[in-house]
Amino acid sequence: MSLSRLLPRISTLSRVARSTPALQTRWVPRARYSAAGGLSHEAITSRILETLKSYEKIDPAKLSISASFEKDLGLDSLDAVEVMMAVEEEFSIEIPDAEADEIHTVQQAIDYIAKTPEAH
Amino acid sequence: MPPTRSGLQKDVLKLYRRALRMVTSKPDSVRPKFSLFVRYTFHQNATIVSPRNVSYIEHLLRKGARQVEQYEDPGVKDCFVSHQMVEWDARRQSK
Repeated sequence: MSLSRLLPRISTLSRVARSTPALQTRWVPRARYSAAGGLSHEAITSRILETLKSYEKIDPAKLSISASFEKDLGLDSLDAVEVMMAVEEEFSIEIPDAEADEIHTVQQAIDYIAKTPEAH
Repeated sequence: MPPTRSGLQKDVLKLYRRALRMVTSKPDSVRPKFSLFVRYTFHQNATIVSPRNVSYIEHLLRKGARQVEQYEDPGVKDCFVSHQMVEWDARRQSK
């Protein structure tokens, strides 16, 4: 179990390491320091959408970035918790209860992952 | 507009998150059983129990918290899955 948990982390590390020299050549390297640890916004978006698609109660046709879990996707609050737990698992993080309570749309989920440096 | 939630509803969702985290701590082979048990219990109670029945929901919360605490013990390696649970899950998947 421990080895399988380590493997994705190692691959992320090496990805960060590879992309670092490219970042240093940018004219304002400092502006990049706040970026989420090597995860691009597009990567986050596509991984979240993939995760949501695999949830049985979500109709992929209704899925969009601006969709609200309860209003647009027709989930109840329990389903919404399940969906966010799946997202947590996908990015190997744990969202504290207070913050998880505030996430009601796909966009909010993407924003949360983007501002969480531990996500990978 | 985000939905406004009562304190009680937040407590239920908090317990649900804790229960689902308990599921992820179990070995892969039995995880689907624990997951089905937790999901079935919460969804079923959410359909049966009226949201106005506050004292009963509080009772279920206390009962649930005790049960999750027991199940969090690594010594608990398996859980019972009834026929109804399997049927419920099949109905949900087919929708």
